[in-house]
Formats: sequence, C-alpha cells, structure tokens
Amino acid sequence: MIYYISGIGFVTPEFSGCGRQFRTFDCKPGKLNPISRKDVLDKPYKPFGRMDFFSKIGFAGVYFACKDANLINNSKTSNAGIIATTVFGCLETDNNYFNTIKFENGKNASPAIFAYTLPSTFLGESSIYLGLTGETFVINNDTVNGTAGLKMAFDILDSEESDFVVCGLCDTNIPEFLKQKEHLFAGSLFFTISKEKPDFCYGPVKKDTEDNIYFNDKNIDNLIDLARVCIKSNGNLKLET
Amino acid sequence: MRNVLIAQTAVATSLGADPQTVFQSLLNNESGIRKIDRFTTKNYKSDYAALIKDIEAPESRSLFLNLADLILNQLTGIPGDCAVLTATTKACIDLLGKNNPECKNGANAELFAYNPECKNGANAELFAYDSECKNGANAELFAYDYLILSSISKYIAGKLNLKNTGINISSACASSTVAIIKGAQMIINKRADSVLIFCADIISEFVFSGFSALNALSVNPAQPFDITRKGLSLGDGGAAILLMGDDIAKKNHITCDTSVKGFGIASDASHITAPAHDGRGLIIAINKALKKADLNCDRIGAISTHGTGTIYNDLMEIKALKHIFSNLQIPGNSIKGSIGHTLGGAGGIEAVMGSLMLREHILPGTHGFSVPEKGAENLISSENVSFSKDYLLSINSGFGGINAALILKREK
Repeated sequence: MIYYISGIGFVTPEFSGCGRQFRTFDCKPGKLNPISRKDVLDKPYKPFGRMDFFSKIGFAGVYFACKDANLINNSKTSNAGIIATTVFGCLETDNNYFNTIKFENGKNASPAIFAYTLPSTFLGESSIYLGLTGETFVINNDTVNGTAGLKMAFDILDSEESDFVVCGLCDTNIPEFLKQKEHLFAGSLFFTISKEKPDFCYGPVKKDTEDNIYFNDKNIDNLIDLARVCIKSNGNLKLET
Repeated sequence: MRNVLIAQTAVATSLGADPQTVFQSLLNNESGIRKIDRFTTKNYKSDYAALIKDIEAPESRSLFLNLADLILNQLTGIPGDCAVLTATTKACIDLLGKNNPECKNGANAELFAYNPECKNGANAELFAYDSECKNGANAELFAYDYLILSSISKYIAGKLNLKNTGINISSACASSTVAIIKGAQMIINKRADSVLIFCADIISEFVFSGFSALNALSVNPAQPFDITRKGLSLGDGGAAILLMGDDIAKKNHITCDTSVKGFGIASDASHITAPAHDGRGLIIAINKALKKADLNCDRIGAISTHGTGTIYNDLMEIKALKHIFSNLQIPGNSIKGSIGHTLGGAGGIEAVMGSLMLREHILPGTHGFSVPEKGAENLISSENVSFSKDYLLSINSGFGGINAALILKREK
C-alpha cells in the first residue's frame, strides 16, 4: 500500500516550524525552550496560554504539519485524526498538579492543571482549533521510533474513514524528578499522511507485506529518520499562500 | 475478512474478581460504591467511590500493580506470540511522592524492572534506571519506573511470558474501547493473530482530587440518567480481553461466544473537558461502527452506555442515541452506578459485561436510576431487561472530546 506525506511540522530545541522552510532536519538532543502563542499562531488564541508545556509543543507540531500541508481551514471541519507517540507524556504536568494537592489535604487542587494531566488532552486542543473530527489517541511507548503509530495511521487511511491523519511524536525534556539519562528526542514532530496523492508532497511512504516501512524505497524504522529523508529529498519548497 | 473473536476475558471491580461474579452482582442490583478510607476526603466534593479492598498495598507498591495481578491471575493459556495493548490513564500515579524502601540492596528488583533477568540486582546495567540502584542507592528512582505508562504493557507481558512487550493506548475514558478497536484492526489486517487487551485504573488521591476540583464528583453515589443526578463516582477496576482471529481460534479448537463486529472512533472538536452538547462526535463514532458491522440500527438489541452520571455526559448520550435510534425504544444501561467510573478500565469492563449480556440476552438494571432524565424514559431502567437481538452497542466518551463505539455480536 502507498501513502503520501504532504506536511511536516516540528518543535525541537534548536528550531521549529514547517518542513518546507528547512533544507535539513538535523535534530540534536537539548533543552526545549518555552514556547509562546506568537511562536506558533499569527492571531491571538487564549486557550494556548492555558495549555501545559507538553500540550503547547504537541499542538504546535500538529499545527505546523497541517500548515505545511496547506490543510488549515478554520471554516470547516475535517474527518482527519491525530495519533501521537510519547515516552514520558504529561509526567511533568502530573508532578505540577501533585504539588497542588500534596499539602493541606488537597485543598488547593488546581482544576486548570488537572485538565492537562492526560497526554491526550493536546489532541483535543488540536482537534478544536483545526476542526478535526477523526480518531485521536496517544501511544505510550518506551522508544521514540513512532512506527506503531504510523502503522495505525495506515489502518485508518485504509478504512477510508479519514482523508488524512496527523501522526507523530511528542515529548518534553525528561521530567526533573525522574533523574534519568538524556532522552533521545525532546520536542514534537508530526506528519500529515494521506492515501490520495496531494498536489505537493514530500513523497510516497509504503508498507510491505512484512510490515516494513519505506520512503522513496529507503527502509525507515523511526519517524526522526523519516523526517530527515523527507526534508532532504524536497529541499526548500515555497509554501502555498 | 477475518472475524475477531473474544476468546477469553477477566475482570476485577468492587463487585468481584471474575466476570461471572460481577455480572451476577449487577443482575442483583448491587453496588460497590461506599464511603472511602483510602485517603482523607475532607476537602473534596464527595466521600464516595467503589474501592477494591483486595488491592490495598504496602506503602511502597502501587495499588495498580496489585489490581493488575488480580486480573492477570484469572487468565490461562495466553499465546506466547500474542500482541499486547494496554489502556490506562494514570496507572501507578499513586507512586508520586513515595519512596521505595523495598528496593534496598537491589532486593525485589524484579518488581521495578520489567525484565525477569533483573532478579537480585543482576544485569542491572541493562536498564537505564537500574544501573543507578546498585547497593540500594537512589532507591527512589525505582519508585518512579511505573509512572511511565509504557512500563505497564511490559509488566503485563513479563507476567504472562509474552514475546511482545506492547504499547499503552491513552485516550482518556475511552482508552480501553480504543485499545479493543486497535487490537481488532491488527487482527483484521493480519498484523497479529491474537491481541491481549489489558485495561485498568485505580482510585488515587491524585485523580479523585482532580475530578473534585472540576466539580464532576457526585456528593452521593452516582445516579446515571436520573433527573436528580449530581455527578460521577470513581471506581477501581480493570479487565483483560483476549481477541483472536477466527481462523486461529478454529485451529486451536477455542470456542468463542462473542465477536467484535463493528467499531468507530471520532472527536467532538468542541471542548477539552466537556462533551459536545449535540453529541456530534458520538454520532459519528456510532455511525462508523454500524457501517463497519454492515448493520442498520434496528439490528441492535441493547446499548451499554458510558452513563457516568454527570449532567452533561448523560444528556449528550441521550441526544446522540436519539439521533441514531429516533424514538429510542431500545434497552440500555450504565453499570457505573454499581462499579463507579473506572476511567481507563471502563470500556474494557463494559465489553466483558456486554459479552455476558449478549450470551444471557439480559441487560442488568442501572443502579441508582429512579426518575428518568427527559429522553431516557424508554432507554434506561432500574430493572433487568431481557432482549432478543444478537448485537450490542457499547459506547464511551472521554476528555479531549474523544468518543468510541463498539458493536459486539453473539456468536451461536
């Protein structure tokens, strides 16, 4: 089966934006910077300010991918879905919420923070902003390869219930209290994938009968490499206006 | 196309730790919702929840792992090459803030590393976390392993000696129904011959306080679809469901009396903590499920609703179901009045109970329901209701506006 990648969006420690603005995707580990609404959206959008950091970078990645694919149209809904893979999810937010209940028997529990103690909340935020009514769910995995999510995206496209699926990775830096070694990927990276070939696309991605994934006939076993080859293969294309 | 069968099930709730016991308790109109003593509730909106007493754990261990063991102990003969999908929203969140004295000197390392090769501290360097736990140093690191949700699928796989370590699906209160659907798709697309779905959540102060802060908890035990309802009651609970391709079940002489015939998932794109008032996402999900099952809605014999007991959820479900089933003359129920809202475990428990409802052609009454919300008059009853058709619709909705629908079929 063949599918097409029409958009890529990302937030990394060094750079963020739409795939077509870049010639390479050379993503190195590092500390993510705070992100503001103005870094992502042209117009004011109050809900962005309320989001936790994990949701902000996830929302930004999804938004940039859809923008890259020229799929932003706030006047109508779309049947597209979103699948995100994460290692740590919203653990940092969990700890922030926990800090509001650990004293005084929970008297100061914060509903505003609690709303973001699910890694899937940012999918809801993205769906609302972009008008996406398809399937949304998060995969918690201990690796950042993201291919399980990609295969599930293919399933959705094969069922013809969605015209495109936004699929990718999202992780903040490792939460301080976990005291773990450096994580391989901090940030967000999302692709828009469709079964129908769009006017502009990075190229075809295929799955063989053994479930192996290929982009332009090159075997791919993780989404970061997929982003590298996609962006390298298409250079600095002009964005549709 | 492959038929997806339910080959084996397991359940643990406040009403019991096996499917038949829980089902019988539902038929007997019992409820496990009581005043709780797991933590102080003096600053929270409710004192009620449905606890499982058998999972109470020493200070250092998560109650979730004890709940997992209670469910896993019911399973037998799970194929070694089975895929694993877990569904939990917060898993071992009760570990936040706990130290772990049981990990001193590398003891009990297997409790905290999901690889059985790590007994007695051996091979500690294989695991990023364990290498810092030599001689009991940084014992608190181990306490936090299970906060990472992917560790749960590995724990399950390790306990059952499965080759595949699996992933966790997180989709708020629709997580387990989404996991069942993804498992079914894997089997239909021949990416797996069998998939074990494990789903569960516990009542932690973390979650209880959050729902209280959102004003979602009922002061009294939940009353789904009742005009006087005030909110939800939380519950400990979980389930395991072994899905299997019909060709594999036949080859292994496994008899299954329920199949997964249709499914659908859709988003409201409306609000992050409240359902869309018009039920738009749930309508799309149910229509997807009916289309997948190639059924008209008049073939559905009964509905297992999400029925949390909150004002908005129950209103939304009535609206969505009326849109699909017009005069809504079809029996439905919610089991959350009996076992509470088990969050990540909800859809899975309801699917297991749904398979028994189909087998016995009887729908347990909704505990706590008395005076119907407008529109629920023909849908919900406090009494058990018999039905004759062979398809049951099971629906769940969650934070973020996610909705999932499952159609189960009684196989003769």
